Amino acid sequence: MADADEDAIRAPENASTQPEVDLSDETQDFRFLNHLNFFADSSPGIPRRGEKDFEPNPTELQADVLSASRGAMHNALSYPRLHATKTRVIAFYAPDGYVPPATTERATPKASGEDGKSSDSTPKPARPLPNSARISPDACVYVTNPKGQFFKTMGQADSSSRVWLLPEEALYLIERGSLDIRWPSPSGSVAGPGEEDLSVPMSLQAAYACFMGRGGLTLERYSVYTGLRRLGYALVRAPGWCDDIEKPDAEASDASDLTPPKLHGPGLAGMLGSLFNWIHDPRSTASTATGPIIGTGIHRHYMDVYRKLAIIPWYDPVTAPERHTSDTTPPFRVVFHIYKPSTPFKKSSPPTPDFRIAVVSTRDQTTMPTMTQLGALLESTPLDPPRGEKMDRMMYMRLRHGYRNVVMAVVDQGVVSYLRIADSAFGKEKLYENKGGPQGPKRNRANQKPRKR
Amino acid sequence: MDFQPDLPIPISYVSGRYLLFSIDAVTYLRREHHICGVLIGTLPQIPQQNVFLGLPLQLMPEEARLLVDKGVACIVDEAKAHDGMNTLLEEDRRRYLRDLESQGLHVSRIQLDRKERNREQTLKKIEEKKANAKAKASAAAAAAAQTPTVPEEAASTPSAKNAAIVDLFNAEDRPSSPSTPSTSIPPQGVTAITPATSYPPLPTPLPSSYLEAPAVPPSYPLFAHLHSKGYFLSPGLRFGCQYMAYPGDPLRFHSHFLVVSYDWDQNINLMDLVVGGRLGTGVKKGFLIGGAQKEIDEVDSEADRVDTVRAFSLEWAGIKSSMELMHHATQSFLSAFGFLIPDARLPIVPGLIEPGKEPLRRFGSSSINKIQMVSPPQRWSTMASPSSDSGRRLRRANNMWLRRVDMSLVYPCIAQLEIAYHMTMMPLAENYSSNKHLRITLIVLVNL
Repeated sequence: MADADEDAIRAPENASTQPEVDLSDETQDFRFLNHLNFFADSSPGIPRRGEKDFEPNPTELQADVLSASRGAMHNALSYPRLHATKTRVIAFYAPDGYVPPATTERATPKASGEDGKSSDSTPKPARPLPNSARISPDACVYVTNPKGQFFKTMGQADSSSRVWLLPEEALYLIERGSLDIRWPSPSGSVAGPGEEDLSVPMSLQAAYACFMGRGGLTLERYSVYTGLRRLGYALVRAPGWCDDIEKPDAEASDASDLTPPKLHGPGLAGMLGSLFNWIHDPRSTASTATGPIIGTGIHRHYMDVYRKLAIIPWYDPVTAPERHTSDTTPPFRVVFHIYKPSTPFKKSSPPTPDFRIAVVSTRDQTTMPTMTQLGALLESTPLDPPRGEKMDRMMYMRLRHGYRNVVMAVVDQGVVSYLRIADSAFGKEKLYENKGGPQGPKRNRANQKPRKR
Repeated sequence: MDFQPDLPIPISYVSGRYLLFSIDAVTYLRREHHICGVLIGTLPQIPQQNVFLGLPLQLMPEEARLLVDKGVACIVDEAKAHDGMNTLLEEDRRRYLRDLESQGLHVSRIQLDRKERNREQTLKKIEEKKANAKAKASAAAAAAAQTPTVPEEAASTPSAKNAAIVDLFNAEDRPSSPSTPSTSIPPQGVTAITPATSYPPLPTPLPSSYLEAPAVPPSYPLFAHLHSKGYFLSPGLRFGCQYMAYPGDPLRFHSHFLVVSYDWDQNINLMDLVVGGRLGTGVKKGFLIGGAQKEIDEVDSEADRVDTVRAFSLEWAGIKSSMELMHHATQSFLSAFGFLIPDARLPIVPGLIEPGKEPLRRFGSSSINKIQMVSPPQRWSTMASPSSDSGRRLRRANNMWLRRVDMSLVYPCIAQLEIAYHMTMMPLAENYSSNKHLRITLIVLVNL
């Protein structure tokens, strides 16, 4: 029977695709979470995808399973955020943002050089260090006893060795149960020994209420931040974080004077312009008007012929001018730099990011980006040409990698989809120069030819 | 477990989004009102993964609006409410801190208990191992004594653990457990707790401070309509639609429909229908479109619009090399437009035979000419009861969708889809069949 056949055909296919299934794609049955043992010392594994039913039927069995699932979900979600005394990290909320430590606070000033890079245990000198300059004015939570792995990639220490956290960092830490944030003590009174007790711990709800919307933090940006953090990536804010960034001064204004005439330059949009010109301006193709495109003469090689035939202007991402972030339109703007867990990361001098990400909320931005927006976004990222032995060998890898790339996170009501956008240079791949023979594994020229256009 | 929170449930309005922080509210809304939302928080017990997420729960504006319209929930500006933290009285603070401390004590005690129990169990296991070894060494008499202990041990381990978990959660839910004598303070000190919500210590917000109902996108009537029919809806952009419609709780069921809303008079791009239909079929779901007939200025309230919503589902049947399937599909397809096929059997086209398969029956252009337009289609019944075995998959689909066809709905649809006929019929017949993969768009109209 047809169905049996089909099933048989599909079975191996399914088996092979199984590992690629993204479990977070759909709602998981929380009962499978219970199979994990939270309390065991061994690190819990991720459960496999569970079986689901097709549609509800009025059986007791189904009702029981559903209520068990809901019970499991209730249990899992009501698990409290606990801080054992040993590992507890206490932070304080500063509603007014970062305040440089008052001079009186420094009870024990010790002179020591090179404090900017020294460990947290070394007290900082009185003079504000360059380090303090890195503390964002948006930082609103400080930790006095920073310990644990998180402070390797989060926060900036000030001159009195308090580590200041950005709103998203603080929110992420409190949400995962790794930080105990306190409200400021009542009525601004300096906390005496007796009053110390009255600093109330902040609830998760309070943390959201206070940090969300602070310094440009939107729920969408936070969803991306926390989602990637959970996977082990390190994220830092990119220069495009603020919507109202200014161009850097006079030099930039000169550049902007130059920009208008450059409109038909080799930008992504300018490329379209030149294509347009090409269609409408017969003179550029004068040779075609007067004779054959390849000209009259003796051609000894197909390559020469093809080269002459390549009259359609194409866009070369390498020559495209690098543009400043301020040229981009707000949602389509890099807001986070992302570092893989394997990348050695140093807070004081972050390396070149592995990925750059722009965050788009579907409820605020309901349309696809225009070519201009996308071009500006791509050109605001540095050139990242395909390199390496593998890339040299395989054309499709090169095309897929592109010369610039950016990740766009599209957040639909808490559901995040990541799209990688790359600037591929099809014009740079001269298929005719490739003298026959397969290029990559299993690919032959017959496959490549139609792709040229 | 069936906890009933006080109504209306306050939905936190934070930075333009709608969030829920109370686990009781989340479970209650899911159970009683079929509102699932999207969990966006980190689970503190396993924080480094994205498969299972925790509180808070983000609600779509549609969901929040629905709940507010039903009177189940209200919207609270959380940032404003938390200004109250500054003016909290000293005694309230003290009481709150005391509460938290006692909860922390309770938790530490449970953890200590559990540690103790685990230790005991491990000890017991070791002893049993020893006993087993002894038993093996001794004669068969010992074997009889050994059998009852093993299942008992196996059964007791998980239950004890579960009990502990439940106990812990109950402790968190209702901190005012009577048994809190501070006799045995754990050696490692009090465990601090970060509470999930701020109520207490904040007082319950007053009705005067409620914000107005959330603004909703034009797709709201369709959302509310499907919700009123018992569907669970979740945001669907990741799957290429506006909403995903689940027949039951998404915890236990796969979704059935990809939902896209259109305005009543909106011109629908035919390509969108084809693409949506293909996408839906590719992920084993129906592609559902719909919208409200009346504009908001024609009726009194948003709720009245919901009553005028109509929904249709499209299915793309990719069928090859099966006569029966094809026959049914063709018939359904044509009947859906109000056509009758004069000849029940389609002609066999010679030359279209795939090796090792039955001969393909081709839907030739000559048979298209024979099709006549008839005014009420009379063959709906035949669609609903295909009889062959090989049509199992299609029949499943047919039964599911076609059983519910409401005849009064068919007419506007035919008018709407007439164009679809003119534009799709020829390419279908020509291109696909010459491709040796005869595919026929099966458009089934459903009144949900």
